[in-house]
Amino acid sequence: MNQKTFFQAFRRNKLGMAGLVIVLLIIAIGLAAPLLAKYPKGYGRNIEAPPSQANWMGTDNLGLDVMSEIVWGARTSVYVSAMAVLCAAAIGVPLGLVSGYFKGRVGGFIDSVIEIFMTMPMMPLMIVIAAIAGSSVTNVGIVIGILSWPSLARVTRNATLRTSEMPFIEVSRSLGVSKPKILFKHILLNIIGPVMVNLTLVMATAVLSESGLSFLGLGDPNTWSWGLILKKAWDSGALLKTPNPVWWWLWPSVAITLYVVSFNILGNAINDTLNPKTR
Amino acid sequence: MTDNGVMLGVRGLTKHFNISNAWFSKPLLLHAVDDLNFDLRRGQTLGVVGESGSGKSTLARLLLKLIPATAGTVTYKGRDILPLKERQSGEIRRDMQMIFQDPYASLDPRVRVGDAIAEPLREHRLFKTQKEVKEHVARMLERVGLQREMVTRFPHEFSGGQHQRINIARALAMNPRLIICDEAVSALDVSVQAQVLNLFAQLKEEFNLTYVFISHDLSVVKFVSDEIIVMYLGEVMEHASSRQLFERTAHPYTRALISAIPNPDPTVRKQRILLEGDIPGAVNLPKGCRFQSRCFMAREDCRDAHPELRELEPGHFVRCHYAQPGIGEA
Amino acid sequence: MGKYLIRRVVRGLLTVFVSITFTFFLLRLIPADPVSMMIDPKMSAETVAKMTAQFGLDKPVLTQYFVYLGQLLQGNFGMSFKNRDLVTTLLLQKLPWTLLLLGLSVSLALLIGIPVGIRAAKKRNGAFDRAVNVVTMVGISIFIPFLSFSLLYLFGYLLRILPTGGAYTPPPAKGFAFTVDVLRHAVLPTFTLFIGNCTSIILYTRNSMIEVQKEDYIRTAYAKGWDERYVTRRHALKNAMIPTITATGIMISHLMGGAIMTESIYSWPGIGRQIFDAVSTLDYPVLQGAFLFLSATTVVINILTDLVLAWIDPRVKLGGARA
Repeated sequence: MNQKTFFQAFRRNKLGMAGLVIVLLIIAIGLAAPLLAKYPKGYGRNIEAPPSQANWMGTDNLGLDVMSEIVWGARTSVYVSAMAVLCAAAIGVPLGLVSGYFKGRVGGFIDSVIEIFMTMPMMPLMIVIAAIAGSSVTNVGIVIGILSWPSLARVTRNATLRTSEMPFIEVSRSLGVSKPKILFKHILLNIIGPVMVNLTLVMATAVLSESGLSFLGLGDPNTWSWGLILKKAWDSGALLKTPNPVWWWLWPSVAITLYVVSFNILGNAINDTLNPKTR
Repeated sequence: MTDNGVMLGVRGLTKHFNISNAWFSKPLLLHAVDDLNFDLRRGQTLGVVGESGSGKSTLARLLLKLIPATAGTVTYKGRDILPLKERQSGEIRRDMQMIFQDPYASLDPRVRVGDAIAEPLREHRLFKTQKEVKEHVARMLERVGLQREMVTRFPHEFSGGQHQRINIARALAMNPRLIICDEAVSALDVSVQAQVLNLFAQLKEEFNLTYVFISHDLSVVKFVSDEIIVMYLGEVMEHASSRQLFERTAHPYTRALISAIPNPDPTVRKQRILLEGDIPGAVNLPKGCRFQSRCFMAREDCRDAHPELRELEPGHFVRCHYAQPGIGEA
Repeated sequence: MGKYLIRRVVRGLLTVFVSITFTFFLLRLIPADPVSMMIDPKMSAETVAKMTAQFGLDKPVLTQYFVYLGQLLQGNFGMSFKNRDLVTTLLLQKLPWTLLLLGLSVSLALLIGIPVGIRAAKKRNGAFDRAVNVVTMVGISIFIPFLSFSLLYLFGYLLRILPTGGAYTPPPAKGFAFTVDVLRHAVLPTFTLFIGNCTSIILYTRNSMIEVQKEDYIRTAYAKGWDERYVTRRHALKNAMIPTITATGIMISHLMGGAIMTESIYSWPGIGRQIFDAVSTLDYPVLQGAFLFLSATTVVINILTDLVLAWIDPRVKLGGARA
């Protein structure tokens, strides 16, 4: 399937298109945050005010506009997930390609490394590394990326194993095409589908991890993120308070879920389009 | 060129695969190719025939150094090519080309046809400018009967016969001396097969090519070969000139293969010799003759004594205790 | 079989060793100084030095590493910086609570996830399957704090029928009343962890059932006119369970991520919360102990998974199969 037919087929997947639109919308909101809302800081006048004309999603315990916090939080989520995907791809894809193509000792060694990392408890490690790396948003993104590579490497490796058995790879070898070219042109072009699917999943889990770290207080305390809003709500006991400021914890949660669900739907749709028979 | 025009010399070529996947258990060897010898002269065509599992495709890959050999030597223009590193193999990669069995899978589905043909030319820096590369690619497409405008198309836009023509154009573009065809026409319709075989014959004249032609189909091999090797379970059963092999058939296996060729003349009634069962696995080989389990004239001692390849008459080699010219003729 | 098991155990030990080493040096990279977190500003320089020496923190890192390995071999996991408890005692105190949560949620997930997955696979793209598809899509995307908040809000705030934190109401009751009290406390955290698990179990079961039904021997079984339920139970299920079991193995080891957040939100006194506390107080020995415990558990679970697989399907050759 080439690009043109892929997009034609993908367009027919309504759910997938919806996922794509939401993802793009959130990314746009994140990029345009400075134009959409003032950065929430200091104190506002109305504390824990319910949604109104002035504050569509209410205010928090400092009187800050929750919607502005969510808009700026989108910026963090988009940035962190992009960072994480870049790191995971930079490590996972080359390692997966090499270990899948050189089946002998090199491949076996890399595969064992992948396996050891797969058995490591990711979230606890993430917490420790985030504590070490310090809590800048960039660091959090890199940490998540570094710990997400094993699954990507696995997927890349398996796809590479399958593709390297294809006759056209042997043909390339018989024509004296260099190994880097075979790996990074012919094989990579042909496994881009499964890799893309896994990357959308990495995107989705990256947002979950970033929000989790922020919620646990290991994110950047000076940059708004969806997890940080929830942490503040939690710390102030907003959950069991009467009257309950539902808007304060509900909207950021909805934002996280929407972003993650959309990425998962997108990944699924790409997968269905590439392999129409599996669904 | 060295001694009397021998282009490719093969001595004692052997490939055993270890198919046991446990780390410490003793190896389980699959005898894909055992002690193969032949000389191929410039301008000649060597046909290699055998059923699937006879080791003929392994042979092709060994000659092209796509897999390492267990033992033996392959000399090209008098130089042993097997110990060469990939870096030192530029000449071989240019001079020796292979056409594979599956015309569709031989082309990367994501690469445009023109790029597929141009890629090895760029890799080996055969031309100075991109313009020259493009012109050469277009010429080659035309030479194999396609249009030069097709360079921008993707493989899936072509038919099977066209695929194989593209593969041939790609091999030809390297200006090769030797082409190894591994079941190059067996995936094609019969009518297309004939066209492609004719193309091979024309190109041979035009470019002064030498061929190794591998097929399970004796009728195809007969059409193109000067000399034929019949393989069974990794061993040469019979090796002779094309005429000798058909007119003075000496091995019962060859006889069975020949009898299976359909005869276009309905008035000639020929007795077919049916091979019973499939080719046995090449892992636990029988002690005696490898063909004995399916041989219509096997005797007691075929089970115990392994026959050696012997020269029955000048240039006619056969591996059978009871071989004789014209064996099994009705 | 025996040989295979030995090899597997050796590799498992290697994994644990790599993990120990990795964690040890990783923790030493934390820029903050653990001693500064333990001491009182009023303490004299002399006391600080004494304390530093007591924990061996004055020696070079490599020496500390070998001392640590030596202690491990004697079964000594070290002493918590924070409250001077033995790490082993501390972890053993927390362990049963975490096991209770994980055990409940994993067994519920298997109990519900497998039948749902099978039913979804039977009528692929049918109404049930579509519904399941939507539910699982949301399930794998769920953010644990969101789920916990919703549950807490609903049951703890609006309805006020379930406790909102802790593992029991102090002072602990006796006997049966205690069990009931603990179970009541466990409902919300268990359900929180259950959602994620159950989703993956459904997904794996469904997908592998679909794969297996395409296989020749299943179609042959149908062609022979065998009853559908019989075929499902006798042939398909057995083979479809293989990826599900593998997934369960992986899942249990990944569950700790969710457990940290879940236990923190519900103030559940388990290992997850202990890890979180230890990070915020830079309590190296506890962290090292917890990580060692986690990687050992993972390895043991992987080996068990392999054995279960071999037991279910004798065709799975232990020598060749990779976990």
